[in-house]
Amino acid sequence: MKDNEIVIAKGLTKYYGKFAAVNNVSFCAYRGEILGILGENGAGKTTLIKMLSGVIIPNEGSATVCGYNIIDECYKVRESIGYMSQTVSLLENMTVKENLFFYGAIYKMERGEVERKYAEFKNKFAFDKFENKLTAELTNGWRRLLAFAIAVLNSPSVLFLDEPSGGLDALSRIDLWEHIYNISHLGTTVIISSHYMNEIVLCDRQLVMKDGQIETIR
Amino acid sequence: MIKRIITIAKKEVILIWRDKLSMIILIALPAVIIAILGGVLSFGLEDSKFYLLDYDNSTASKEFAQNLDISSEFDFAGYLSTESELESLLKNGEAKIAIILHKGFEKDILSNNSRVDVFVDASDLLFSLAVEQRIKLSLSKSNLLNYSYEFNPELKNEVRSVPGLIMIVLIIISSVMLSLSVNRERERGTSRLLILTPISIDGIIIGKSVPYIFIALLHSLSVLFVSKWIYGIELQGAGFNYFAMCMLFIINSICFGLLIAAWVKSEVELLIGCWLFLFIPNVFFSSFIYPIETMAEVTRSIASFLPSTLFLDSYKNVLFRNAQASSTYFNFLILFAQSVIIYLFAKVGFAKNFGRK
Repeated sequence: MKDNEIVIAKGLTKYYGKFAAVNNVSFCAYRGEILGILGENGAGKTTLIKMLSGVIIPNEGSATVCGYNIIDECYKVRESIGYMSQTVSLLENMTVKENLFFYGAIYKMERGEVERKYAEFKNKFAFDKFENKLTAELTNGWRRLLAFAIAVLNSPSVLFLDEPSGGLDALSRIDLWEHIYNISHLGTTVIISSHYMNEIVLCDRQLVMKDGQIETIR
Repeated sequence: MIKRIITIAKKEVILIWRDKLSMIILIALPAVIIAILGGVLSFGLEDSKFYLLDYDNSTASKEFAQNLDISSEFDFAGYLSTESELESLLKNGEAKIAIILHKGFEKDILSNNSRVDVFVDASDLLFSLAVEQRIKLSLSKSNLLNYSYEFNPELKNEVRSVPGLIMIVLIIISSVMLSLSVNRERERGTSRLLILTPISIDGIIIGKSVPYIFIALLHSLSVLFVSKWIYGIELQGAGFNYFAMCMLFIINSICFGLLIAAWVKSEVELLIGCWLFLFIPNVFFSSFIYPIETMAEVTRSIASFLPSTLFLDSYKNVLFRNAQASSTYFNFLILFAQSVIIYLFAKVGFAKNFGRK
């Protein structure tokens, strides 16, 4: 592994029955870059991201994330990554603050550290208006921002964003991309999947997937 | 691991606290079940009318009728003059209990040789069994019969209904409520996010179960106090055994609830699963409603190892009989072994449906 290669995938393949959702995918992502994965629905973007997050076990191939093997060291992988799914799944009956403190404790962060992060997020994401509101009462844009805040709470080395801007209006998208650039400047590798070309061109490099395979990387 | 489990447990407490329906079910439902079902499933008699065909017409026979009449279970409906009248009342359903006292009843009491004929409508088996018990108790009190009711000399109905009702309460809290909560997390997708964090599936399951264990334990302790203060049923065995028995049954129920939640795909499937695999077997095939001894041999052998049967048997051992520890501990051992096996199956289901694929 070269020093700046933080995600290395070699021949990753995942079958569902006879159907290959991801077929012999190899690539690497570098420290601090934003790598965009473009593809139509069903191209295998989500399956690939889930394999790299240690949730789905590949049938063939291997991968390392932050130097940890995704099959044997999935808990180590999960400690070093952040993940935001296309469907925002928050604890609905808990407030914004409670959601963040809950995930902080799950990541075994010190309370003081979570409080520091929370103060930072209040400025960055303007959470102070909603801190005591239940998540269920938030608009879609705010919910996505909270999901993003949870994903970056533990200062991950790699951040996986699976179609993060789905359902967001134009202004909220710009806002979200600002946050993505900021976290990338701090050294976090961001791997983002989308089926919007205009979004993927904002990334440092692009990986185009079709029928479970990589068509181009540039 | 422990820190993360406590975090999950705290989150579960907050979610229960804010979900008013869950709160009502968890806090108030047990009291409602014991109050309402306790009245319905009393397995006792209340002012059941009886007719008397008194051939002796003596002071002793009148006293016998009076003694039955003043008890809360029976109510004297009137004298009959012939056996054909008795038969017709029974046939028409106007009488459910009729008693014949033969000529010489008073004399026979003195010579300890008395005979009482009791006719009961046995088309309702439970009713006839209850009448039999009460008549025997009444005859024993009048020294007409030597019949001893051990561990429940006053034939308190609560001795039968309370253990069964607490069993239902513990199943609702530990199995149904927990499995509904697990399923809700799956449907809302929060479990998807949780499995992407470093916490293991065991950690999530244990953390989610802890609040339900505490609530269920609290209810089992409250039932113990209610039994003492309201029904006058004192704990005969060791307090530790009572605690261990409730704890083991709660854990067992939690494992069954988790097993169902792990393998079903929707809330409807979950509720059907709870009804089919928890309520029906545990209520109808344990000794709660029908004694195990009255079941067919095949059913009996299955029913003997149902968690509820083991719980009810242990409950009676600990609460009423103060039985030898060995018989109670054997039940505990089976409950524990079942819990371990069921948990492993549940874990396989969780790994398959919630975890890494």
